[in-house]
Amino acid sequence: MKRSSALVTAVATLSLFFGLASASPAYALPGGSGISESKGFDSCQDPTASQMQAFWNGTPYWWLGTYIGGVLMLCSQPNLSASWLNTVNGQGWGFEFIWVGPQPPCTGYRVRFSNDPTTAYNQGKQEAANAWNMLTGTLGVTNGALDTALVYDLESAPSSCQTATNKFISGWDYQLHLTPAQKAGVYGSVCGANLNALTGASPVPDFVWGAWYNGNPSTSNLDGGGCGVANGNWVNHQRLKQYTNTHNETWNGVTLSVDNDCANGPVDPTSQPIDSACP
Amino acid sequence: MGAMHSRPDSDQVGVMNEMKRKSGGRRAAILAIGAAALTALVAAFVVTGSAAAPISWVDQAGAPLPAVAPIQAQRLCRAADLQIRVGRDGAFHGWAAQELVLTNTAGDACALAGPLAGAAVLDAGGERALAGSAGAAAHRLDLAPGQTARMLVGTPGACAGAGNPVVASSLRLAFDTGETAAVSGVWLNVECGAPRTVLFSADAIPAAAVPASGLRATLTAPSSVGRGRTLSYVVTLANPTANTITFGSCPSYTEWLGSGPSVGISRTLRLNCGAAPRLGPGQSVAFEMRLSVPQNSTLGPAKLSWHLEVPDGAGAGTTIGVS
Repeated sequence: MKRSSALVTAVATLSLFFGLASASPAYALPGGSGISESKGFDSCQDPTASQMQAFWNGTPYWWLGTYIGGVLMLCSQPNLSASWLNTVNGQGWGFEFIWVGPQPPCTGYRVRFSNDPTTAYNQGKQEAANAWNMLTGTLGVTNGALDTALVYDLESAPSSCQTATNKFISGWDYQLHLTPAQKAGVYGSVCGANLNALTGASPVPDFVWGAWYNGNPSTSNLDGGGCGVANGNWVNHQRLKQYTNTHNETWNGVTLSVDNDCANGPVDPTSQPIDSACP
Repeated sequence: MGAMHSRPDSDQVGVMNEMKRKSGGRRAAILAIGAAALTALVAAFVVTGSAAAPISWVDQAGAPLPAVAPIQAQRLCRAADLQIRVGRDGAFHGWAAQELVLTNTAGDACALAGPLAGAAVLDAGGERALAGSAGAAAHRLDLAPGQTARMLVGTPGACAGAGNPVVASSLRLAFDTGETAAVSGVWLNVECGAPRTVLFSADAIPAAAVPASGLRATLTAPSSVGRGRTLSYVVTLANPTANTITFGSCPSYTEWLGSGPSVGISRTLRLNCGAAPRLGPGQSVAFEMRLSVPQNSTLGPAKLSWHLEVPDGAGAGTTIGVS
């Protein structure tokens, strides 16, 4: 990464000697991530580049929870493309990539993974491979998306099928850790998705993104009042928090339906400033 | 309905693993970037034939784009005004939900009052009314001609004993005008409770593009700047389109430097484009920028951003430190 960045910087610097030059058509987003302690937001539909510009100036947000695919990704994503990622990153934004695939077998979603542990494990691997292909193929993330953080959206995970869920997430984690390895995350309600029980996955997810709408941005407490993530788990810059439910926000004349988030963990493609509200 | 995800073929997974191991290595990426850089430099020299500094900055006041007035419909949407498309179904905030996309096909603006009271789903058990709305769903939307609203109707994604879906494939929307519209092809599992509207929002109104809307911007700035100093940075505008873009009268741009909500400085100036009144396909041009950093600026990391004041104007930004 450092060598790649140096080359890009060198090109940018040298290009300053040319008043008029050929434009590079490359839309590639660099792979990678960096530990960030900063606020972000997510929206069911990835906003347009213009909307993202409006949500940058004078706002507390530095990164966008970005839905990139999966069979159960709910909202259509007409804006999502390699060009859009490049443009929005060029505005200054970071990303947290989200993949919404099959849900646990004891839920009511249309597509569910198997209750059989072996099958569930292989399905988790398959979803990771699909997500990685999306990142490095359609979305053009470079360097094999090495070190890029990638989050599995686990909307509900009742304990009645926890074994299958842990096996599925184990497969997700295992596959993402293959060279070039990504950082494997899981998003879910701290209680409804039983995030704490994913300590039983092997390997354990690199980080968790817990939803707990208590309005407190601090990632230090994801315990959900007792049913969520234990305070001693995922403590080494391994937490993100979605701390408000969907609501409308208006910045610079643009209104979006958003959830508010804080990161104290990896954000793509580089680290971001420290916000004291997100310890 | 309720089908399990198809079991992956183990050989297929193995092939993918192998593919992943083999592709996308760091060395390959660096080589590719290096090759692209060399190509860009050579091409730049071919286009210009000589080195030139970025076009100098001028301190000439500009004007931001006029704010777009909120749409205020004078009437309610009728069923005939709306094209209703069944979108994706999926998982969202614990809901098993169905996306509906409603487009105003009328020649004037009309209003929808969320969550379309009286909407119902039809399943083998009969007709079930929507339970209401959740969170941000309960509000009125005014739709411009051609604008779309996005409605997510969902049921709880989990409950005790879930896993045997009771699926409704039709939905009846009741409008404020008293009309109804039947929507088929939806997937709503009502085994864990009655459906409700969980999100109701309007998409952005497509902007009336001008030629300069096609430009792309990149920004190069130092990593830090001192309070009371002048920040010098460079914005490069590129034309990725197949057509020459002519500026005409030079457009305005707005720059922002700040660290948080309402803490920062913003200026709108005129782009000094007289020396580069047009950009051919694939060409780019660099502009020098200057910004005086106030003595009372907040110390620490700050957002620096720049965008062109044209519809869907190019923008670029980065993070710099204020010391």
